[in-house]
Amino acid sequence: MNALTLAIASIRSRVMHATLCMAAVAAGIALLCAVFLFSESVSSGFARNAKGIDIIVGTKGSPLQLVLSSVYHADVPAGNIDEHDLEHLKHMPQIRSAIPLALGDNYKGFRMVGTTPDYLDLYKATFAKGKVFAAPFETVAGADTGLSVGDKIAVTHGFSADGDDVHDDHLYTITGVLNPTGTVLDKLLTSRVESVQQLHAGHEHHHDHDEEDEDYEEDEIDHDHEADRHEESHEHDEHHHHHYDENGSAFAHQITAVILKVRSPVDLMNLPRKINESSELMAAVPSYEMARFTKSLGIGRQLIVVLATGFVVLSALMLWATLSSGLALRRYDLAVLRVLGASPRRLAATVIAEALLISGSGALIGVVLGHGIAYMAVSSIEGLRGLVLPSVLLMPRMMDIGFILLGLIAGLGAAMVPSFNAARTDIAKLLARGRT
Amino acid sequence: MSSVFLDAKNIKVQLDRSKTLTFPDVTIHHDDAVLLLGRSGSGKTTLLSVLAGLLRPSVGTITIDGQSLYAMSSVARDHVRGQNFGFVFQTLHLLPSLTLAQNIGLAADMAQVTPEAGRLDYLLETLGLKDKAHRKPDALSQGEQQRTAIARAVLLRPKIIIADEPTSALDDDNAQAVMKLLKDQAKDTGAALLIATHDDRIRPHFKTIINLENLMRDKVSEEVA
Repeated sequence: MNALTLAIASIRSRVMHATLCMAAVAAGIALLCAVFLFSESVSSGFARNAKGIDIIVGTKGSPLQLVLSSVYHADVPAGNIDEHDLEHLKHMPQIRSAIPLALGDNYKGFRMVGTTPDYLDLYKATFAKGKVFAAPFETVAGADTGLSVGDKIAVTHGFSADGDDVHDDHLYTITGVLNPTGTVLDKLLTSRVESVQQLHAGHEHHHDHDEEDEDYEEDEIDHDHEADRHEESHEHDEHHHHHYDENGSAFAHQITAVILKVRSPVDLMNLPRKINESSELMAAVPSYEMARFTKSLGIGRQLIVVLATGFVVLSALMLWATLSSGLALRRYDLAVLRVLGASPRRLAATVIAEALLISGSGALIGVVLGHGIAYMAVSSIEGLRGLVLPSVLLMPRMMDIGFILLGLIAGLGAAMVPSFNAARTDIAKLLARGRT
Repeated sequence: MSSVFLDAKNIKVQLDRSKTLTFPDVTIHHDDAVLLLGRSGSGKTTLLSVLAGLLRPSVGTITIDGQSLYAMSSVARDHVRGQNFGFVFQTLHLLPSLTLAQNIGLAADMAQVTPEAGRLDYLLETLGLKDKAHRKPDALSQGEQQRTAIARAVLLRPKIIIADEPTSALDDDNAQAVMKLLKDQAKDTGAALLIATHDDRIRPHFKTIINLENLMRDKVSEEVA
């Protein structure tokens, strides 16, 4: 029998107190752990999904909305831009590559993205089965879509799965299914830009407007200005207007956004300003926008961290009180141990062992709970779907060791005075008085 | 007569500013049975604490097998106590959260020595506690608890068994039974026996009696509560 068994015996004799203390430690640590896990996984999720995207270009509006809608597919886009802007951007010397994105439809909540195969390379996607889309209305399905090669699907207009505006006149055929990438791509369907444009070109004739359509309409109004800017490329413009007139819609040659990769970091500084100043386009840098976004969330985070730290401190005080009152009850027991030959240091050790057992197991439970809370938070927030992988939150992290250490330190702090008191138990006086 | 085990000379203990107890010298040989007689509050437990290395006297020396007890480090003193002294208290001081066997084993654990093989079983057997070895003290009778406390005291074959009022709470029959048990165990273990009591009933068991009734005090009028 050592300090540990004695500590366990002591805890068992006062299960209720020990459990309460353990619960308090667990609550504090769980809160801390959840906050850190949540914010860490959100920012790393943001960073992972924006990898390789230096600049995103879309229509003028909120840069954050542009980043959220077109990089993270977590918001609806504010509107569209003209396809010719893509050509224009492509010819700028600072730009290494430009990938178009045409949004507007979904299949059971999975967004259909009209783009080029370069978009798949951006996420280093590999094929689990099949091959990349080639002809219009061929599509590649992300890993989480549950689709398989050969499936034919009808997409719904808009961005929510419960829309009733189904494009059932044109079915997409799945030509390939991707391996999981741990990015938004897992929840996307990708196809050629023309597929999306074609559906929407004919769309206005058949269907009532919904919210997104109104956004597109605003674009139609702006469209004449855009045409002015493209005077020099007359042939294209005529072609463009031809479609515009024929379909009564601007969609035939519109895209939602362009993903840019620049040649040098200097361009990353200058190019967005240049684009914003000189055109109807808006350029946003995802890393910058997300840093601003998470900074604005930071105040809330700090508040919770302060609260949780307070919780841990409070639980340590509670443990202190419990150990002290337990000690008062066990003074004779401790005196007996001294009489039997135990050194004061051993008595202190049993008290410390008791505190560490309670706080350590509390911290362990707290860490497990914290992971669970972060997991539930991430999976219940619709906007984070696909951005952050909830399953990763259930995995143990290096920081867990830190949280358990924190719990143990709290326990050690709580045990300091009581263990000191235990060590200087005045045996002679206690024994003289007898057990009362 | 065998060699001297414990020798206490010129012991004085200052209780507070005005009260100092002066004890008679105590010499205990290896196979002695000594009775420390005095009424409640006469300083019996104080003397026992001093002899056992639990309370440093203001004046005086105690030697255990020739070694000065209070000259050694407190850890060494704890160790000497754990190995050489077996204690039985009036209130038995069994730990309620441990089983009977664990309570007995505690003596070895706290002294950080391994009891000789079969010693625990032997004690459980001879003291009739074998069936109850895994019970908690609450589930035991007074007699069983008493025997458990005695078993704990003699587990490590101490050189002296010190008992503080072992019989005062017991009726005549039980008092005699406990005395017999203590003497038997002391003999069986080869230990000296030192009993502090105000219980005159056990007087006939002893040849050597140290009477603390007329303990010298600096202030004779002072009563110790």
